[in-house]
Amino acid sequence: MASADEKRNAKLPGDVNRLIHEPARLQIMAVLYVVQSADFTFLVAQTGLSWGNLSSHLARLEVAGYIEVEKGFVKRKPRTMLRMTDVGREEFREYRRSMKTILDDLPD
Amino acid sequence: MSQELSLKDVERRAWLSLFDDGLADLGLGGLLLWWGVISLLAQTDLSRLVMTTINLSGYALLMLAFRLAKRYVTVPRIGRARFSRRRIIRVAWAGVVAAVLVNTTFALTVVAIGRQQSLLGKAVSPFVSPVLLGVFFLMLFGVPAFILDYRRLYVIALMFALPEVVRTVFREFWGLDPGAHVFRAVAGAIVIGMGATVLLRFLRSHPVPQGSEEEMGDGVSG
Repeated sequence: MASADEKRNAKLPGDVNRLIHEPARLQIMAVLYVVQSADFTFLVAQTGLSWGNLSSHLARLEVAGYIEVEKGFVKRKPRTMLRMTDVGREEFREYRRSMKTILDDLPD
Repeated sequence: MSQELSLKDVERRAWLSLFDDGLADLGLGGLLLWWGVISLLAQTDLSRLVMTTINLSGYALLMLAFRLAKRYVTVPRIGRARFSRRRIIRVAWAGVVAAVLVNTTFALTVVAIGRQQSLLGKAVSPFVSPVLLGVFFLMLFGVPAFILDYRRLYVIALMFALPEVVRTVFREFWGLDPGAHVFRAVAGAIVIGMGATVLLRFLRSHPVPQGSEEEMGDGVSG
């Protein structure tokens, strides 16, 4: 049960982070939240998005500073890994809190 | 709370996808089958050196096949991920706990069998040793199965635990003993069948994604 202060500070549905709220990006953020890092193929397999679709969503999340791309080489082969930044992690937690507050306050 | 649960589910799904390919099952089934072959070969006149060489070659081949299959079958389909410290600690714990249990159970098994034999002589039940061995395998695979959320490992634990017990039942109740290799081979074949089914399902449900990292990289990091 939320306290009176929490209810006063609760975000309205319009205040929810819309960048994260989009279903495909929400899936991507959820996967990257629970792993330290993952490559593109892992994200395709986990989210079921097409490569092009995933690429455009990742680009938006990267521009927002929520994810970062690590390009490296393993045994002289290029390997690109994606990970959530601290900012992304904090925004995702904030998104969870907002959604929880909004949904918890819904009348039956 | 439901969001916490669903995030846990996302993590669990991501984690379990690493075992979705059935290769671990195939490897462990292959190991059981190989033990069957080894116990069959043990009945021949092969020298100890040849037996050891064949034995170790089998393990090496199994390991090689497993690593190659992971690299060329699984990774192109489900990609790579590094898991959180919590998961890694869990994995490390699974290893430590399994190792401690294995050693402790093994020591206790040896001591118990030794005591039974010296104290009771021929009165020892023929089931004691197979059951202790069964418990040993149940713990060896059951504990990591629980810690890693890898449920098929329970079935594999049973398949490792049962052959000696079933063999003893056959021998004691029906006077039949086709040999350890038959029971191990049957258990190995069951695990391999399970692994092959999981692998086929994995191959059907995880086609190699169309596209390349280069295309993606251009779009993402500029």
